[in-house]
Amino acid sequence: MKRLLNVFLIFVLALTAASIVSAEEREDRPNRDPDGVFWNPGEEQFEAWRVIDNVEEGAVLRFWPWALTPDFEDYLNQIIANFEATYPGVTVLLEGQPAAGARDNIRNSFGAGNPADIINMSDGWVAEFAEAGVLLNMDEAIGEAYPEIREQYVDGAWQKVTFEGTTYYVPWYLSLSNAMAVNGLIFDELGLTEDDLPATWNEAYAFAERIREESDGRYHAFSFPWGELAGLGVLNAFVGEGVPIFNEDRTEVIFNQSPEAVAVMDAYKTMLDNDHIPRGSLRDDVRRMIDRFSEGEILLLMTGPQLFRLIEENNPEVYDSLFLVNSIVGEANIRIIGGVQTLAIPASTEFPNAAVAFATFVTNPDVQTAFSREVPIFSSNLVSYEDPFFQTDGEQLTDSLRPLAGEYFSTATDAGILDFPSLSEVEQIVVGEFQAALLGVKSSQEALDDMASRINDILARDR
Amino acid sequence: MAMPAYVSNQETLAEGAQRRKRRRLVTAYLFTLPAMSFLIVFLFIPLFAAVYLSFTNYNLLTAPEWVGTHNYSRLFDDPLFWRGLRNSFIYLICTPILIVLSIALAIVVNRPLRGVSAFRALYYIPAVTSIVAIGMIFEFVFAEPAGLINGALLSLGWIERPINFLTHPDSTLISIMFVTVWRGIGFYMIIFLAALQSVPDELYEAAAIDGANKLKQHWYVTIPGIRASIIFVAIISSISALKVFEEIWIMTNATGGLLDSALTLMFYLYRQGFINLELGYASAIAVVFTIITLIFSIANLRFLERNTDAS
Repeated sequence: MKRLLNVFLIFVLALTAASIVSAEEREDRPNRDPDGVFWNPGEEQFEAWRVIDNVEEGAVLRFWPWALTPDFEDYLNQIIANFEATYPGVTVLLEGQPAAGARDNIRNSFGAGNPADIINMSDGWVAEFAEAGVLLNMDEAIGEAYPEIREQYVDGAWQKVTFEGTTYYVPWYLSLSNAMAVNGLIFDELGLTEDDLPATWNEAYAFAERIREESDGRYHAFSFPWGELAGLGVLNAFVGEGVPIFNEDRTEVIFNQSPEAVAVMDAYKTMLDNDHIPRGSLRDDVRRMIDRFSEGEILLLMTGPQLFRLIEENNPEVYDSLFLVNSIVGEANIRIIGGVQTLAIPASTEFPNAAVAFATFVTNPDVQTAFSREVPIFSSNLVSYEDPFFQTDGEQLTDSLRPLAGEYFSTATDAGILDFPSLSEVEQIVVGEFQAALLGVKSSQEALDDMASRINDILARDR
Repeated sequence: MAMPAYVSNQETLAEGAQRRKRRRLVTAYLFTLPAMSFLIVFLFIPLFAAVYLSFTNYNLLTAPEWVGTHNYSRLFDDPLFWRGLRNSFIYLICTPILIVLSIALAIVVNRPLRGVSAFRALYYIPAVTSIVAIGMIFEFVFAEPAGLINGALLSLGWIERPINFLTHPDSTLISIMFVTVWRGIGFYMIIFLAALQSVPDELYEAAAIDGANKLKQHWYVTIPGIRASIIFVAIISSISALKVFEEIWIMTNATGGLLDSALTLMFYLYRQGFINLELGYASAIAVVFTIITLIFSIANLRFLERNTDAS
């Protein structure tokens, strides 16, 4: 029996050792640098990483990343190992949340009075928790206490979601919104050149018609994820055209007063009515938009580069043909921050300093650069872009974006639209009125007026 | 005066009987305890909690705040509540369609045909298929322009433009109802099949001797013979129709359809509770919905029973 137990133990140890080795030599992570400071830190590195004062001795932190385990478990475990070496006496428990139901799990944990100490949230989720007053004010905890750390973050990401002007999270990894994937198969078949591709939305509307005609109705130039409730995408389009969303003191929305906003809505309706975009855009979310592109019926795809892997999974032939160009922009040529993953800390945490230490550690330049080497996401810490990794191209499709990212994020601005009370309700109003205009139930101006009026009612009620 | 011996014996016997009765009662309660505990924790406490929460403003993240009957008065001014209620009642159209189609199918597979067992199993497959898989199947069936239906009709030249099954507010709810009917037929068919097999063959023989053709035999023999099952199916399928959620959630990508065209009361409850985090208001919707369902079920039962008695 004892011998059997020994054999079993040896087997388990061998498996563990094998998993450690494979963690450093994963074929799916060609950009990983096992000899870099993240995977192979020294004592002086721990010293450099130690930046937060008064970290509670003996603190035990629970960390909830979402949709990252098990894929990135080795990376997350390395973060924890490095953090615990940097702040001895603090323990971090990794409690990865699956993608499905993550938001509900977070809500329920707050409802049960037992939230984790550091919670990874998508940017669209933060508002409701901030509004309920259950998150730590990061403008105070970091902005005022550690201004030199605050300055390192991409400003637009820090301010992407605010509640009454205050930020309640630390921005973690970012998506780059200035890249657009082109289906090379359709591009070649139609005999297009890069000069043919539209640079602005006003060019894109005509281009959509042209692609339908030249392909005899087989392909669309692009599609939209208009079924997606989160993120107020339509208002982002207005921002891109230089339309002001709020009045000066942000007490009312005024986008309905701009002819440019009406023009955007009219252009969308024209494209929809004339089949220049798939009618499915009305109900597609981002995932379905990517699926539609993967099926080979769409020429251009505007989404975060980290999602291109879905195309590879769906249709390798299309993926192999892809190349990247600059994304289409509005006339105002505003560089908008795309998706932001955040780290929020409950106001009720027993260890606020240790939690802040962990949030700043996860988002420090070295740790984030290592993450960008794992997957094509981008660091919210501008210092990361000084790393040689971000100065050079590579062999992967998205590697060409790396040298552009630093310059983009240092100038990208926050669209400033995700600062509403009752954000989900506002999202439903925007989508509903937008659909009313597209389906011809209301004129564009009527829909915009109703949209603005209903949002202003919420602003008057809840502010 | 001393009591006769038989009296004290009788008392002893009575006490013993009472003790045994008490013991039986305690034993009975002990046997029901696990089920009762389960019901208390997962049914009665949530039920009373929902009633209590319906009088509060509660967002899950902070403590509930008592608002009296505000949530109920808000319901009456909320156009989406009324739309949800209207759509839920429209969804009831599924019930008679399901009953008619399931009975017809049950009659067909009740015949001694070769391979009929395979057909029975095939018809039952939708009932055991995951709703997510069904959603994916019907995404393809309803897709534009190259979905199963649109692709076929376009290639046959029967239509010039694809039908907007899920991308037009007027057709979204009907399309989803079609999915519900497709999904439910097999399940209800099994119930009717079991009922059909209990109808004596002699009744059909007698009807045939009386000159009834096949249609009349079914009308005068089959339908009365399976009336109890029809009542049962009518009640459970109408309750299911009233509280439909999964199909709406899957087929509208959790949005309730364009312009809320497929918003049912259950889906609105979900939206208010779990998207807008207005759990107090959602609880008020739940309470009203429960009362409506209860009234509807009782009325349904009474109506069908009265018709049964009359016939």
